[in-house]
Amino acid sequence: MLAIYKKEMKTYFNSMIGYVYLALAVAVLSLQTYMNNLLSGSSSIANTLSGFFPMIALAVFVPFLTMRIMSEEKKQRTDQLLLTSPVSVEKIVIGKFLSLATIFAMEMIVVALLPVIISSYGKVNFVSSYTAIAGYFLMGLAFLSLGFFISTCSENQIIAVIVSFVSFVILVYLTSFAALIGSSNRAAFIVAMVIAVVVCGLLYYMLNNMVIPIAVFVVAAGILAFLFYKKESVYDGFVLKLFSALSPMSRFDTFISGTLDLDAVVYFISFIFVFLFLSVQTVKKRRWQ
Amino acid sequence: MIEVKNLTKSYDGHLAVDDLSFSVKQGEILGFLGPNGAGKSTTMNMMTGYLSMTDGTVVIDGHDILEEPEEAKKAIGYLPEIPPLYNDMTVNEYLKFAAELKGVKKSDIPEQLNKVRNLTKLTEMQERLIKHLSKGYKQRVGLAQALLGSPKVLILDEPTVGLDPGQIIEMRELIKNLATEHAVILSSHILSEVSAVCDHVMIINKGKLVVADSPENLSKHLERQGEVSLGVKGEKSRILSTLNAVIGVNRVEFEKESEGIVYVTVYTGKEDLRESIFYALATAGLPIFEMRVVSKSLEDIFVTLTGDDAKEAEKLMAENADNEETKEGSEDAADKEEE
Repeated sequence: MLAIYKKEMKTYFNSMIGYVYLALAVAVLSLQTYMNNLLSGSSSIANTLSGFFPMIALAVFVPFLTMRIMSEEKKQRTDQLLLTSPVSVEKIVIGKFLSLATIFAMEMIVVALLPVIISSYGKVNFVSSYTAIAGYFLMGLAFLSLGFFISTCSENQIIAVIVSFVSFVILVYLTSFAALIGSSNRAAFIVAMVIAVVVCGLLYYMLNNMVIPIAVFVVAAGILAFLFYKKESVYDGFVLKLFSALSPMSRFDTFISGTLDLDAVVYFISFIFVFLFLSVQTVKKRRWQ
Repeated sequence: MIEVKNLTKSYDGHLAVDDLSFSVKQGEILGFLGPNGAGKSTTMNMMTGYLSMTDGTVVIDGHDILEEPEEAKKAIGYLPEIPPLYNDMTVNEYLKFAAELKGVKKSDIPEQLNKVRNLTKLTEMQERLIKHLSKGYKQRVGLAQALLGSPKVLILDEPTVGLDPGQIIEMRELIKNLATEHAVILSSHILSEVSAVCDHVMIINKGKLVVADSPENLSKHLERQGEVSLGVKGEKSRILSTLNAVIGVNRVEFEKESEGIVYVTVYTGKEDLRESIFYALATAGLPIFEMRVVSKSLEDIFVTLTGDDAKEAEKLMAENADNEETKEGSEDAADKEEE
């Protein structure tokens, strides 16, 4: 595991990706700080981190960091070295993810200095500042884990970048999509059906078996339709509830408002765990094809 | 050291590897022979745990590859068909990474690197970036990686591809030397290589075992049939009847006739009939313009066994079986005579 971690760190800083990523991410975060804190004389780092540029740093730059992490191994056939060595797939995935987390942590060290710098010009609420920074860090790790999973699925780095970018944008604007879809129960029913299809599609992808996903879908669709015709009230406000339950932004907002919410921490940790688990399963599953 | 039983792999109902069983002991070299796409690489990938099998078991040094993957993989050094190299690393960086990955003790790493660099003659190239190396050197780096940690089993997928003739000879010597300490399996589609290096040969086609024997026995089997190609001036029917009358000739096949010269192929038994053919034709007043022994090699058995002409292959296999029976039969007869 340590060998893989060291190798990844070396690769990022031998190939410039690491430096370019850090330079760009720190530059846009600093730009937001300049606009929010220096120009308008605010001392709140929380408002800075929830601004436009920090979101760009996550949605646009993170895909470039994660794109190669697994897809390149597959393309160069170096996965044959890793997977035939006496190291488990779990350790390979964790080693690689830790290297991504380390690079992201380097970026956060710079961000962590900002409240200290600003404090020399006036009063800074350190507790709420560092809560917000912790929230940004957790959300970044969550995005890294999703980007990691997407890189595991594709041999092509360009596809990995594009799919990651689109997924991140959807995640950031998830609650806005809820408003777009509307609050009618019919829309809620359709959304629930779409989710059933997606879940069964994932099941099919993971199991390579048609029978189980179809059976699950028939049962799920039956229950959903039954509820829709017999007890429509179940769908009241379903879309909004569901989307905000899934949205990382609603969790991030609790950090921004300065409260360290246990639910939000658990949400991000589960998010990371789920996508790393899916990555491990995807690598293992490839052996069976 | 290596026990493979009923190994099978199917992709969507198509059998890539069909019920292969074999074992290799320490000090032995087993050669997999087969045309491209015969299932050699798939078999090796299953043995090393990169792919999983549809059916069957692989036991390496007493550890099942599926049940105790880490223990089994520790005993394997694997050089895949395309060496798994990181182009942006230097040779040393790469070998150090591979050693750490294989769990070689930190204090042993410098000594191990030194050893494999010397064995594969990479010492001069150790500071070069892998992407700047030639194909032959890349192959050596791949082999060096497989040797790290002194694994008990070496699995080499086409180890001499991309090497120049001098390097091929070096590589063969190296593999032969390695076999004293390791059990080695190598694959190739070049017969001379397998016959030069291996103790045992398995010819595989379309995932199935066609024949398994030592290279000596395989060539002996072929020597039983001889072929003489002839160019004779004269009348076709007379030439054919004269040749057919020679004792020991099994069959004469007419090839072509051009400018009054008749070209034929004479199929004989084991013995060299060139002298008798010469005298027979000379007595008949038919001048020989050309005479040449068509030597059969392992290449021929390979082509016959793995070619599309499956019937011919079956015939050869059957002949092989008959042969063994007659051998036993003659031994029996010999016993009786003694009585």
